[in-house]
Amino acid sequence: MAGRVIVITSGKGGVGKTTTTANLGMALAQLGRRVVMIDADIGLRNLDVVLGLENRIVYDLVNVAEGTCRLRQALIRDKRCETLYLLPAAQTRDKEAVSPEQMRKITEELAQEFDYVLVDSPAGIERGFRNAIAGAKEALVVTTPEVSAVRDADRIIGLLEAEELREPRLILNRLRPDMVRRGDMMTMDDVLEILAIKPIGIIPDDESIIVSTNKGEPVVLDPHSRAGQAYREIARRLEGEDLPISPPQMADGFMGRLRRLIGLQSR
Amino acid sequence: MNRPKVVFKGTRDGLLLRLDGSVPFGELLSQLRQRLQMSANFYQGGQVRVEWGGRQVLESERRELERVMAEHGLVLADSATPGPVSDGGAREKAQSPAGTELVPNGPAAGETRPDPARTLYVRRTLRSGQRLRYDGHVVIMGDVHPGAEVVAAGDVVVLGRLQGVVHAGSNGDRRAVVVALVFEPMQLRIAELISRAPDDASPPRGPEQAEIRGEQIVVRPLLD
Repeated sequence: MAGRVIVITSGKGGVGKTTTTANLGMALAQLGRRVVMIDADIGLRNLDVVLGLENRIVYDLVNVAEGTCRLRQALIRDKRCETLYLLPAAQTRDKEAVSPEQMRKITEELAQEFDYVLVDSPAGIERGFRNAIAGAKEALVVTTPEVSAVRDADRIIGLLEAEELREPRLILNRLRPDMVRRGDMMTMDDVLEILAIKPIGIIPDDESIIVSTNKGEPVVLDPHSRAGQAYREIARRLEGEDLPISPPQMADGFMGRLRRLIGLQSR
Repeated sequence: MNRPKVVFKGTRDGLLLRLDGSVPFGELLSQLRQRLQMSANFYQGGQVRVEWGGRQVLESERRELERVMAEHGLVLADSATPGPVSDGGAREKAQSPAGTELVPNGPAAGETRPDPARTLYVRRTLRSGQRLRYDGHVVIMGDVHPGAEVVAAGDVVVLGRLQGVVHAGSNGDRRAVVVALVFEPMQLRIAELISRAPDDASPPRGPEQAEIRGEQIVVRPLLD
């Protein structure tokens, strides 16, 4: 049976597509799945950096598309997880170096061998985005609780539907429970009301993401990170588990941690 | 009135486009557009050679120029003096920069080690996504950032911080070396060998040199 090809996209830049791709890839691989991530952001590649694999790149997506190397040769195995692979983007080329048709072929070939093919889309709605969605059968839309990001997500969902990528699912990233409680930030319900698609998870704003990204270690590897936990849950939902999506609780104060420690409050 | 920065000249070998090397590329382009618009489709269908006026040309700039010319039905022939710095295009041929065509001793057939005179001196910083390719030795007075790439048929000397990818001896010269004042390359290739940076960042030391010993790339301090 062929694997699932899922594009992670957002329209707006900087909302967490790459971080989400890296973490879902790692989380799925840790569930024992064979996963390959494709960095479709040619010319502004980042996924390799976030995964700490930059120094291993010899061949890339463009080399594969142009036939300078075989697909196998360009795949980089993750240094922590045996079933996780990366197909890196080229840095010295641009989006035009690959065509949607080539992407479709590459994802198809990878889907023969892997359970999941995750495609990290670049920002924007132009060629890079067209490439990223070309071979995808499913889509995850990442947004943050800001009007501009939500507006772009709405645009993207429209484009996905036009490409027959029905039922994209929403990841709300960087939610701050304290701001939500003060009424200063959109809630998941607010966002869902605008976008009218099904959610698949909420990622709380979490400093540990910045630390882990800078170190090239996906945050799902940190058992104490709340964002990591949220990503692990999304991975299980992708696997078909029916976990309820609950808004993240307030960032733990000292008392919260104490209560959790003695088991008075479950998350 | 200003001296025109963009001049078309008819020569025996067809049209020649002469560009002022000291003007920002964007300005050249807009002048070129104006000129092409003024003369409507006078130039239609012609092959044009370009004289860059000593400028280092980015591959993207070359393509941009090509596009503007194509809009007016002009075809860009091979540049008269192509620049060596590209920011894309793995397939473009190693090209000599303005002036070095005069150097008589290129690498002889069958000999992979370039003549010492065949050296490109670059005084700038190579940033992520930029790629410098040269069929000889390369000396860079500046830094090579992560994500930048230098490919040279001979040695590569970086008088600055080397953090990108370097391929020395790209035509198979196993005697090629890589030298940098601060030596932290992401990945190092000499001839057909590849080595990558260790995953744990070690603190940078003094100037270092990489070379092939046996079947391995080894890095040693430049000064003992």
